[in-house]
Amino acid sequence: MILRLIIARNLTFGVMIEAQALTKAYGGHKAVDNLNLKIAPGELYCLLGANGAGKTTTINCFLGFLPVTSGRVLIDGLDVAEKPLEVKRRLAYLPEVVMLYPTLSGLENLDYFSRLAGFRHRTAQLLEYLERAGLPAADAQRRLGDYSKGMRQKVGIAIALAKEAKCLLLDEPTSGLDPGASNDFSQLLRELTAQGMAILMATHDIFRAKDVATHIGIMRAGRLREQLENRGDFEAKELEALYLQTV
Amino acid sequence: MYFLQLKFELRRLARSPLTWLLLLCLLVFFGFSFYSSSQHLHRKAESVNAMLEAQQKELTAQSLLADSLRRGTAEVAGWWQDPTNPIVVGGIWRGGRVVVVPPQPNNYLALGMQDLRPDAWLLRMTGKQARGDVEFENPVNLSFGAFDLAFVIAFLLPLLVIALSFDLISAERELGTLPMLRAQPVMGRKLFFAKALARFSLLAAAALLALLPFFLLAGVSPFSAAGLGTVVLVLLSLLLWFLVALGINLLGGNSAVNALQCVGAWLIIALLLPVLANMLSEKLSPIPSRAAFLNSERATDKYLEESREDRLSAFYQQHPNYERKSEEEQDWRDYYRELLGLMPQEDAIRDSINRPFDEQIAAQEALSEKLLWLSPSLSIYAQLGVLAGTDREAGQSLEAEAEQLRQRWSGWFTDLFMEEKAVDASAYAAIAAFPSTVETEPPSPSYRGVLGLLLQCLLAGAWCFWVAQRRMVQ
Amino acid sequence: MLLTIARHTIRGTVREGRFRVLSIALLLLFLCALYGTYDYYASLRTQHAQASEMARGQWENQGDKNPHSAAHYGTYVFKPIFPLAYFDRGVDSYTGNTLFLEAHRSNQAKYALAQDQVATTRLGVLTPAFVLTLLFPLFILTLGFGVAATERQNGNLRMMLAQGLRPATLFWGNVLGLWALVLLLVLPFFILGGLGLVFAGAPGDYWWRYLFICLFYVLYFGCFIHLALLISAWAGRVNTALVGVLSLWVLVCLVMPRFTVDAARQLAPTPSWQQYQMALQKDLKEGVDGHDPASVYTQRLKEQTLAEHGVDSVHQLPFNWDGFIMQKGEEHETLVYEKQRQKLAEIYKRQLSIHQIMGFTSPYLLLKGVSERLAATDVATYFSFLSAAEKYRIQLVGELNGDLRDNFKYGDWDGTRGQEFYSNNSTFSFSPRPLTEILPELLSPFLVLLGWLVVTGLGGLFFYQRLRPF
Repeated sequence: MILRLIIARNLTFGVMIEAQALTKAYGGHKAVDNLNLKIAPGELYCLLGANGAGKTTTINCFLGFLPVTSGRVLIDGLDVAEKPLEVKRRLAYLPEVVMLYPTLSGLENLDYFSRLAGFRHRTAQLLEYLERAGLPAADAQRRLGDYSKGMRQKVGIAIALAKEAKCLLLDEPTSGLDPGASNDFSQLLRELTAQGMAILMATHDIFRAKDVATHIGIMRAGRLREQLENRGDFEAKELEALYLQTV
Repeated sequence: MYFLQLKFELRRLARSPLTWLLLLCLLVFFGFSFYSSSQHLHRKAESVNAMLEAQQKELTAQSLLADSLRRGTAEVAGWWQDPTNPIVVGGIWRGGRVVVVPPQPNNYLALGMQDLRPDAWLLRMTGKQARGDVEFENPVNLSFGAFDLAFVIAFLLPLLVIALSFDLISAERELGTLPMLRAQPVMGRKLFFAKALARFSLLAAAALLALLPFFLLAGVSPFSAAGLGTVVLVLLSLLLWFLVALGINLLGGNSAVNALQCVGAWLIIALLLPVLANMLSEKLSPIPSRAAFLNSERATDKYLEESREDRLSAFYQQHPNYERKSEEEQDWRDYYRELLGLMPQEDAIRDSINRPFDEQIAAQEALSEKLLWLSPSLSIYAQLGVLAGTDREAGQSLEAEAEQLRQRWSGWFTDLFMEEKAVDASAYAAIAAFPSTVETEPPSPSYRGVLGLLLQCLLAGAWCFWVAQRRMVQ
Repeated sequence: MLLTIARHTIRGTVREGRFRVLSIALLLLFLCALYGTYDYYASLRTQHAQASEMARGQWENQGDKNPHSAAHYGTYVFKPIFPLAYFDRGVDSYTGNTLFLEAHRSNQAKYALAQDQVATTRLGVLTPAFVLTLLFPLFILTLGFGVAATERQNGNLRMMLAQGLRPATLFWGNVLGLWALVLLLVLPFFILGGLGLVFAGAPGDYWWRYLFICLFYVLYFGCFIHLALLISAWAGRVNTALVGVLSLWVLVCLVMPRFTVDAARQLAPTPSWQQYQMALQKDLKEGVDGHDPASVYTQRLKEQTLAEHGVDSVHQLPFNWDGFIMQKGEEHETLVYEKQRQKLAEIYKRQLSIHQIMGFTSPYLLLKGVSERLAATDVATYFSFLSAAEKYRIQLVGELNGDLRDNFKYGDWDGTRGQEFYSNNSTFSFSPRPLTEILPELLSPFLVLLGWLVVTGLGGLFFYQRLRPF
């Protein structure tokens, strides 16, 4: 039911994250090769692939961290190379390991980053964002140095929420999380998707992808080899087989 | 953006023990330089006061004796002990007037050449003698240099800046916060300039606080050229080193590489360039040989002795009122009349041999001034010397002032002697009123050092900006 | 095993990018310093030779004078500059180089070079000793700070310990490797530094001095090798170790020396001009004054002398009373000046012993003292120059007074001597204190430096053994 709704939205609201013939080359080696990708609000696109397949490079191109060699990357219709700041106002990013300032508390970190993004939230509001990200208020006041990886990630999500990002880029978010935290995180992603956020997530984790993604792409050697829509009509086993076959 | 960074950087810094350690170091360095200078200047003040006291005591005794002599209640062995004799009081081989250079509040800013220059001059009718503690100072102490404010600002302050900011960006990279920062809608360049500026503000505030003893206790007026100049120097020096550290960070190395590069920059700028500049100026414009100078002085003496007869007859022709006597017939009056009569001309001849020597030194000074542009440390050091009134030039103007006093003193007593007048009570009163200190208005101080530092800051800023343009991909 | 680790250490250090850049830069700087100071030394030597010759010429050709007038006319002596001054200028720029010798007074040496220079000159002069005492330790520290910390941080330490390596063996291997590397590196510096002696045509004595200087430098560098490893192991992280070694260097080589000067001045204050003069004048008054016949001491001496010779007037004495009394006065004055000079020397000695004590906190201070002493550019050499000059003054004035006493009639102030007589007056020569006299003084700095070496070595071993592999 939800999925159908999203497809409908996709048609209505257009594309939030888009790559048009994206190519990123280092010398002669093409890390990403002619990648075409469209993600609409309410979609969660999982990029699967082995190490070095070009997943992180793709995300870095979307962030503007890497200049593209050819093609275009667009966020909310804006070219990343042309309007870097506008683009960053719309997106949020969570690296594989979310690292924030260890001497500041989670709350202070959130305060700092949301101010950087141009927002001035009141403390109560910040706490609410943290709460929504799954971090209880008691933990929010502690120094970040004592946090686990999962807790830091929650602060990272809160940062994304607090800047009212329209799209979210995730790089291997579940690696190193224990199954419980991983499950919580999936739940959170599902909620964010339901609220209309466009999410691009690079991961190794086929089962997690099957669990949360609306769309799945499999990359190998910089190219997108397979794309499929996850309507819940295939099993994880089938996906794994497809993945292994592709990679 | 600046205030945001100020708030959060300060919060983070306040939670790091390293920051507190650095601030403590800063306070200790400034504090110790103040203490060290105050010890030095107190010793100096005591020393010159002792000279003045001794002179006062002798003068009182002398005027009392002169009084008794006039009233016929005392006797002396001969004219050479007579305190009413202008020769004895004005001084040729004894007597004379000591004028001292009392330490000034501004001296606290930089000891400079103060420990090498005379503390006083003994003015006599025939010339002046320099006196100073430097004659007895241990040369080892002199060779190590002083722990003064100039040393702290030129050498140690940059190190504190480096310690606080060598990992300004690299720490974020190593910590992993850099990607999070770069994903925010803020120009990276602006962000890190603001961060550097926030840290600069912290150190600037601490440094200005640490300068307070110099204003409050030493008595340097904060609104005088010296006070403002010092503040400007401190701020510019901090700014310069923050820019250097920021630029090196923007190059993108890791923290260890950055630290090495920062210290390398410090080593080159603060230590090696001054040393090389000194070598260069020594080479291009060597200090003339004092030994040769003394020998030419001796040669002049000899020439004067040989040509004495001619000048003497010229003197008696010009002054027909004096009768020329043979050496056997001469009494002390005739002897000193000849000595003092010939003196002005002899002085002029002696001055002419000083001139090339002074010119050579002036040339070296001019060269050193040009070399100031090489290194901020040179600019700071030289400028603080100027502001403190302890540079070479200030020493020279003090000496010139002392020479003027000497001429006044000498002219006065020579006139008394030539007119065969005694040093009476009114003359003693005038002696007591004669200046006992040499003080000069700073001869419109040059701000070359501040200017140089400003230029060096701009240069560092431009470099930093250039690196930022090239290296920071937004 | 030890050799393997040593080789590993050398390989690791040499392959660091900074190694080649820094060593070449340092060598270039050293060459620059060598050229600069040698040139300077040579020009000073020429100046000194010319000035001495001229001063002597002026003395001999001063014209016909009464010997005592000649003694008042006086002469200049100049402090000679010794071959190793190009290596370490020591305190030479801060000591008076010229001394005026005259009757009745022992003058202070005047015209220290530093007084004629601009203030910025005091920031230092590039000399070979500057490169070796200040920069070379920093170089060693930058080579060594990462040795243990890197191994630990990138996990190699864990691997090595898993291979059964003992931390002590690792430490000694690292020490051995760095020592070998540093010795190899410093060798060209020592050889190049010796070139100056060849050019100066210095006698063998100076080669021995230079050899001892080199030996002390090796010990000194050893301390920094051990310190680098100690800090590296103590910190365990590359960044911390780097900050540690740099702070240490700043403290030891920059802050401590200036701090020590203050401490020394505070604990053993140098007398002020006025204090010195008052003490001098007080003592001078308590004795014969050759120019004051009324003085009590002169009268007493006169009565004594007349009684000894059984005469009742100075005219009847078998010698010229004026020459005699001048010499007596001179002897008294000499004693007084010598006493004050000794007092001052005592104060300097106390200040220097404070420097030596501070050597426990900074080997830089120790080494600087030793290097100056061996190069004959230290305060002791300056003082021995002053003593030699004073001795010469006494001798010269003695010759003149003796001539006046023995060969002139009493009251004959018009009798003169000419060039022939003055040419036969003795000449001044000064050579630095011999090495045999200096060596015993070097024992205590040697022991302290050795102590530094051992303590830092043991400290390094201690921290290596505490080094946690993760």
